[in-house]
Amino acid sequence: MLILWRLSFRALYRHPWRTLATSLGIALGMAAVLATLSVGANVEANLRQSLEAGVGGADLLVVPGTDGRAVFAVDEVLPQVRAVPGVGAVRAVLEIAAEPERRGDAPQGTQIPGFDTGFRLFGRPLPADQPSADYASNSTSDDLTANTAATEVDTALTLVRGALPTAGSQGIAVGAGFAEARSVAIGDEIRFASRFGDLSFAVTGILDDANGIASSNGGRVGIASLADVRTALRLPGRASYLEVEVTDDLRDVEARLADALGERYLVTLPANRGNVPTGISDTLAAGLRVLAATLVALGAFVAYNTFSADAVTRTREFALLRTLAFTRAQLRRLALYEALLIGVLGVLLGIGLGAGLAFGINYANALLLGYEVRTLVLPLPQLLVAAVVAVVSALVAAWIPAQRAARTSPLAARRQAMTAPPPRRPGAGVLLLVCGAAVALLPWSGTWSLFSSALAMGSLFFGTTLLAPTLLGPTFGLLRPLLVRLYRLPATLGSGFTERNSARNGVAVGAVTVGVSIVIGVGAMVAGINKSISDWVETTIVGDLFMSSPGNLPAGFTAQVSERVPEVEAVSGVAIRVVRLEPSPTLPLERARSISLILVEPERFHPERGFGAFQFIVGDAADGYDALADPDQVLVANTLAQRLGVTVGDTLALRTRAGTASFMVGGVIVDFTGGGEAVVMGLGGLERFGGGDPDLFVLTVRPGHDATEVAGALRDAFPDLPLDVTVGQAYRDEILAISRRSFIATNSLLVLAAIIAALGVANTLGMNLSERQHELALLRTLGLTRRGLQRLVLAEGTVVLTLGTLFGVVVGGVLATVITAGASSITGFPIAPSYPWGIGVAALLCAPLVGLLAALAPARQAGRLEPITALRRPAG
Amino acid sequence: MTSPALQATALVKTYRLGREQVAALRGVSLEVARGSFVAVMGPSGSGKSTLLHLLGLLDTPDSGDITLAGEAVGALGDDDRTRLRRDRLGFVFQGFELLPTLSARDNILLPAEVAGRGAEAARRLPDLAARLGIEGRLEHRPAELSGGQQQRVAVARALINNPVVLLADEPTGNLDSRTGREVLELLQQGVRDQGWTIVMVTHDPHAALYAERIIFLRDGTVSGEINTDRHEARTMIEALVAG
Repeated sequence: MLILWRLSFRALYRHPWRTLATSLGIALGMAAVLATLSVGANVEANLRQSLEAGVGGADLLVVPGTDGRAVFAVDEVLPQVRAVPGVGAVRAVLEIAAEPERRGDAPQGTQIPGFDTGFRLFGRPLPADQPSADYASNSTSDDLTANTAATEVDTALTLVRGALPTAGSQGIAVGAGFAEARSVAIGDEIRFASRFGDLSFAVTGILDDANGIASSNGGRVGIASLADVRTALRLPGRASYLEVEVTDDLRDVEARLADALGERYLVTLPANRGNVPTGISDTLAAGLRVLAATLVALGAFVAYNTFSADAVTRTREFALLRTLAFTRAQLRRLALYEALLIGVLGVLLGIGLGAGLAFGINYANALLLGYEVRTLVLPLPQLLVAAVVAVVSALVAAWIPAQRAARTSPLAARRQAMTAPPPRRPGAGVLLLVCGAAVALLPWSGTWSLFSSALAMGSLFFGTTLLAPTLLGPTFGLLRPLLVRLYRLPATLGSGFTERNSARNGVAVGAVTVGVSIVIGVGAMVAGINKSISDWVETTIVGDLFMSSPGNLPAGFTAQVSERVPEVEAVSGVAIRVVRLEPSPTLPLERARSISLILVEPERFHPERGFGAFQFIVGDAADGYDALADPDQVLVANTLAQRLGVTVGDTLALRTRAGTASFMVGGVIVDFTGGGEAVVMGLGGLERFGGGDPDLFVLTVRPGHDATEVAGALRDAFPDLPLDVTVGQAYRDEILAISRRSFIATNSLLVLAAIIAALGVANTLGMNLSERQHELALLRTLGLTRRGLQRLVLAEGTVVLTLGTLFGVVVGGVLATVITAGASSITGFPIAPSYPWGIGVAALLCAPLVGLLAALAPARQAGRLEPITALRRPAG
Repeated sequence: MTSPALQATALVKTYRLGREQVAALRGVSLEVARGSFVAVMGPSGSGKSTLLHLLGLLDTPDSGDITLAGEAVGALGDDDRTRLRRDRLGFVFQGFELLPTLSARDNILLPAEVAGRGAEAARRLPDLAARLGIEGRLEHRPAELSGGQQQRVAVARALINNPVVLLADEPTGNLDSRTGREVLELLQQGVRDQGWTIVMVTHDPHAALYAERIIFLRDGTVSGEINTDRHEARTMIEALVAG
């Protein structure tokens, strides 16, 4: 009915600030949902663009297949590739990790294997002579060319300075970011250490890292001629992959190539080349989902708060409408239409806020996952889901107030005592609080813990709202000496006001409770996660020194360490690889996924002889040792085990160089590597996954020796090796910092929770005031000064904030248990709440101060009240 | 024979105030003929407002019957009573009770639009507004109108659905004497020329004299009744008011 819409619109228009504050509550909830739901899409889109930038104009890549080789002979496969119809230009690329030698003045940092990809050196077919800055290659290369007269443009390698290297020049063009960080200039000689040997190149140009290959990997890339890299590495005729341009339907060519090349080679889209374990972004998204759901609930509660107070404030208006013409159903519809309009406004605001929040989370993820922020994606389906959540939460929040409005008696308009408080229901409040606490403290598991989180939150908040009115009086009594000292007589008057408006103030107390308890509850979860990570690092990442080298290590390196540096007690190697977990009959995954494989020496984890230890979820140290010693067993990180639903005795299918092989789960442990998507096995299995040297050596130092001094002795003992030696605690701190970055986004959403709660409080206090203008004007008429009126409002605000904070600290403590259980069930991380009691105590101590600040604006507004103007308005 | 516009029989209404039972009406009966102007007077607490609430279907009696244009309303549910209130009754209040967010035009048309007769009412509005002297003020918000103008808008709103009875609760209570007189003359003229039926609650003898008949309430019962065309009406009113 048009008139209902018109009335709804005008009611919202008449109170723009109230409308905006309520919409903002809904919008912030929606923004959280939108940003959270688009985490995956943004990670994917940015990674895809990064990877696509890394291969220039290639449509497809041909990479080594199941045999796990790092490089392959181009001649072995090129004829088959070229024979496939639809294949255009083909380029061989040799890509390796090569660590540039650090200079004395360059910033030094610990490189963490498994977390840091390091510098990438690309050997690409470059023209023999290429003076121009914008380079398009494909017609000339050293040993392979297009099988057609291709004219497509290759990666746009834009130079900011200098020129691209030419074949045979031993030159290199490096990313501008890298050049700046390392103070590299054209003409400088850079020495690189790599697994294939040492390399030396002269810088011929600086690449613009705004686009192309140089825009990937943080600008830590170098482009040299393929021929020169092959010569330097002594890898004639070898490539890491082939870039293929297609002249036909991409999918058809991909299928034809896959058929032609068989198992030994994999044909893939450039975007699928990424080795970032999908689990990290899954973990992020899952963790954020818990908080987003909480924020939606909080936003809805703020909206409920407003709608409730509105229903009380507008009793007279509703009663008049009932008198004049409106049925109960029409009045209910009127209230719901307003909620719908608020929801739509919230959606519009939420899209903007969500985009901002998504950008922030995207930025945090880029830091964590090591990609560049290239785009922001807000997928339509996710946008629609978030919009529906926003509108539905507004309608749900409005439902009870709408029912209350519909029950308004027409006579209410005729009664003088419009603001008579509704009957108190402290008993129901206590019952809800007890039920909520019981639900929160019961040991739920799996998805039940999520359901119970929502139920507990709802019960605790509504219980607070119902019980708070009864406790406002006693709270005022407790604070009375302080308030009278601060505000004198108006404090006594404020007592009456607080109690007489107890129902509405109860809702305000609820809003404060929500804010404080969310901060404490989610804070306890985050603190719990941090503690879990700390425990893991302290338990598992044990060792006095951690040593890695980007270069090739000599044979028998471990023995040489003990010989040359006798202060070293034990040396234990660790290799970290990214492997493919394949679907299998016992584990039917939707598709294969990349996970981290950590290979360790079993002896380090021997229950008696070893110096390392795992935290076991299933199994014990003896089982763990047996599993590591068995080449067909793995230990699985709890997160991955929970996500896959596997436990001890189950099998996982991992792709090895000899094809897919089954590995039995020998134990379930805590491990946060790769966002918790990791398996651990004995180092003896390294050959099955591509071979090579360990990436890291964990060393213990004999008692009585200083680790820092031993680190220096190690560097001195191997002057020709580019060793990166870090003292244990510094290494652990670095891992801790990297792991905790996962929760940057969570913490940012926590701040959002506090903002929503604050918004709710300000909103309620503002509404309290607007409703009581008549009474306040009467007090002014009777002689209360402006200052007195301000003090009265401040006294009331202080009582509301103090009671709300008290409730919030208690409820937050209870909620922490269930929120943490919910987060644990979604992320798979073993998390126990770690109560941030410091925050609780600070919140309690600050409550009167915050109350003062929150009530300041309404108090000033009250102080400006002109008695005559206000008295003209009807009461209520 | 035409049925009376409004008929109340033996209305009883008791309220609970704290622990005490207060009998607001103790068996009030009255009949309002179509096209008549009836005033209800009485001291504070006599039951005037309660009677108006019952006649306006805003509240239900503990016992007794009410018939509106021949239709008994006792057994009707809330929605039916609302519809009856919307279609057959009009209300004018002491405090005007206009919606501040709506213009005068929208306030007047509100009951008709809710009833789904907005277009028809909009056609009648110019004539009605002209009769009430507010044709130039229709686009103004209540805050932009004088008290007298606001009350005229309230009267227009009460009449927009062509009600059987217009119930007025102290309609001049918030107006100065001249403006109050104008409003009362307007109501009187409407009864005379347009055939409106009005029940007006007032404590003001001067206002009551504009009605054709005055019913006096005291302690929840009808204590007297006079026709104002009698020469000695004013004296009788003063006597009855004095108790």
